[in-house]
Amino acid sequence: MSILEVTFTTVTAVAIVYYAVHHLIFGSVVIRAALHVGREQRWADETAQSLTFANPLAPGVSVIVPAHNEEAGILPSVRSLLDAHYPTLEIIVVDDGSTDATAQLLIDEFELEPRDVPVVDSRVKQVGHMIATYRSRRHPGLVLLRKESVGRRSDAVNAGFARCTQPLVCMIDGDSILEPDALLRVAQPFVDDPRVVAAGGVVLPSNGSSVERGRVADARVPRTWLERTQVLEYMRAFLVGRAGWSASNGLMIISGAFGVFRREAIAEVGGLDEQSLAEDAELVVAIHRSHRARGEGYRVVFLADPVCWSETPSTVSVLAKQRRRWSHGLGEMLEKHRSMILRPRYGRLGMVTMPYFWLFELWGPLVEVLGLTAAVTGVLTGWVDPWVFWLFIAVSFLLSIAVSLAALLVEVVAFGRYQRVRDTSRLAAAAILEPFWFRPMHWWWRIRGLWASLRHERASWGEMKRTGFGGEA
Amino acid sequence: MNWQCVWSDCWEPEIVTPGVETVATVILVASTVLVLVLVLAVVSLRALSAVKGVVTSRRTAAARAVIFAVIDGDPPRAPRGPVRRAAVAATAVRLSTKLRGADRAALARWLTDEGFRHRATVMMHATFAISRARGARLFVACLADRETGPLLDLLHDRDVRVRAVAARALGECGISSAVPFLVRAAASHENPLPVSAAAMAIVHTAPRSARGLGMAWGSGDPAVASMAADVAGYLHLTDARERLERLLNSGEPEVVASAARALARLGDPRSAAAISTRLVDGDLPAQVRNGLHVAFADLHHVRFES
Repeated sequence: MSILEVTFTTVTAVAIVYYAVHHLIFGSVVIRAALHVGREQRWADETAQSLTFANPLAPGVSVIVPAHNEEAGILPSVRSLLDAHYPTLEIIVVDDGSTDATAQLLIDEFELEPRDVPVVDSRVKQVGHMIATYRSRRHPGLVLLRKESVGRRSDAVNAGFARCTQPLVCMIDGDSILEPDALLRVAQPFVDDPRVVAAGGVVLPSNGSSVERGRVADARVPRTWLERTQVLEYMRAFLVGRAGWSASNGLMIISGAFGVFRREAIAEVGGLDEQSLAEDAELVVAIHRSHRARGEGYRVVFLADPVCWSETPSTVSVLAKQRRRWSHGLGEMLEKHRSMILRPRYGRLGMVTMPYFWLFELWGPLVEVLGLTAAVTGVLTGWVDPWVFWLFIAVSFLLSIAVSLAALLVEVVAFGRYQRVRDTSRLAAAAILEPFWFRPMHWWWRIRGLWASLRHERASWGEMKRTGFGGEA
Repeated sequence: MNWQCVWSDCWEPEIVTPGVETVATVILVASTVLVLVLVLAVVSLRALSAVKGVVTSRRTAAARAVIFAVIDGDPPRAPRGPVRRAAVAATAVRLSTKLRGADRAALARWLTDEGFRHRATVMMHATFAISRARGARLFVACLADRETGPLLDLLHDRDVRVRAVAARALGECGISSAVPFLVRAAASHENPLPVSAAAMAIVHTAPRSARGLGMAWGSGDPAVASMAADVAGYLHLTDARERLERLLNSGEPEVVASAARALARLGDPRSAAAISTRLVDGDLPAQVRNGLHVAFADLHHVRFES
């Protein structure tokens, strides 16, 4: 055999093993996710939530809302928090160097007045200088912090964390809307199990849905295929990915758009990493690490029921930047915690989740492109029959479609948030079309992110043009 | 032009063999079938879920009618089918938390007569945790004579969520004699009851004296001692003042903070001396020190600005 033949055979064999292992692991994640969601649905107890809501000793929640140029959606977002069903709630909006009217809108709408908001936890540092602090006259639990931006969301969250006073800390985005009982649902595991240190809920795109008085009144599938495909992606990531990893206490990511943590768990790891682009995943991994190091029993859980609606990019250019940033951040985070990978002392996280994310999420697009290149080369040289090539493509696409449909099935069976059959059909169509047009673009964006992380490029949070929630101000 | 011969001397790759072809065809067919089944399942289940919603709401309405008839003093026989009985049980669990006095007693008596209480007891010994939890919820709905023994047993269940459900159920019953059991379960080293669930249940039962919290006051577990302080503060148990002042001297910041909050709630100016002594003495974290200052200011009816 020539060197070229050996190379081709090796690449082909590696690609086949890679695909097989990937689909085997992900298949098991899908099954675990379905079982997990089913089990949690059976545990659902409205009475428990009513009792928690009515109880003065329910653990208080501080909600931190980092906002950078969020004038389009900040008011509905804060209104949804003020209307949230939760007995003890503190809302800390951190205006991170906005150049638009974000702060002024809040000051006018909620009658905020300059007041001292002291630092209560000095273990978490902030970098950007604090400009001013405000408290609401009408809503005693509402606080606004105005600070200079250092280009990182994590610094805004840390500034809020240093001043929050409740035992549970929730982070949501400035363009997000919480369902009224979302906090009750996501806080319940903390009441029921002292080992729970972090819990995440589902984030779904609000694009296309109608919002009234800070609530999603009618959940609908967005009009464009780009946004519809993102709805599917979020379902796949949350209802399959996170639910599945959570079932084995190997959850590595709790979305920065909706996650609740025990205050102490955040404080002891020094808050969010100011340098990280994937600060949400970085925080969860750091919490896993510190608890494993002490040999303490702990749980990081995912709940498929509570929902936070968030605006997602509606243009290809903004989406490209976002996905590149995510991939870049994932690469940075895995590099920082590489010593945990394949170390049994870190349990499933170290032995399965992190290697999976490194091999299939971070390097996946590159391996897929290499595999495709090998297959095309094989066809051109006659080493591979064209039908085998097409079969390879077909199976790859079909399995990808199957995973999306499985996520959609979980949503339909367990929750049915999109009430119309037409919406479900559109999402099913988006699942079928996605591999043909969205996936190649996504590969490219992720490869660029991977490249940026390999080069240790420093990046900051990108700007996203917000359209707000259906024109609501 | 034959690229194969140019590049590799007419080498024939081994991956294209009849065995591989068969496996590949099987994978292709399986993937296609999987996708088709999923598409059908998604669309048909979406449509079916609407039908299921209608059926469930009808069944719930029928169950509600049965329970309203019971409350109105005209108790019918419980339905016989397992699905309908389950609907009645679920509705009774939901409604029982909203009923008081004679209505609740009537419902409990009817549920017991119709065998739901026996069913609940059986469920509370089931293998699966979710069944034990559901059994506990149903048992509370059947509870009129305050016989809480089976619930107390569940406070030490092997599943933490069942323990929490049992605590909530006891809280719902409002039986203050359950408080020592809740405290003991929270302080237990083996299968402890989550302290937050215990605290919330105790507040619900509303004991009238700090003595009811018994061993919690002297617990070496700071979470349990803090719980006692928090409960005493919220329930305004004035006889807890001296115990709370003693807790101010704890070495655990969490306990000191809870005691300070509770003393502020009690509002007895005699506690000011103990707070100021603690402020002078200890090397406390800033947040706890701040809490002591707030409590001290509250006792003097002054708003503290740090």
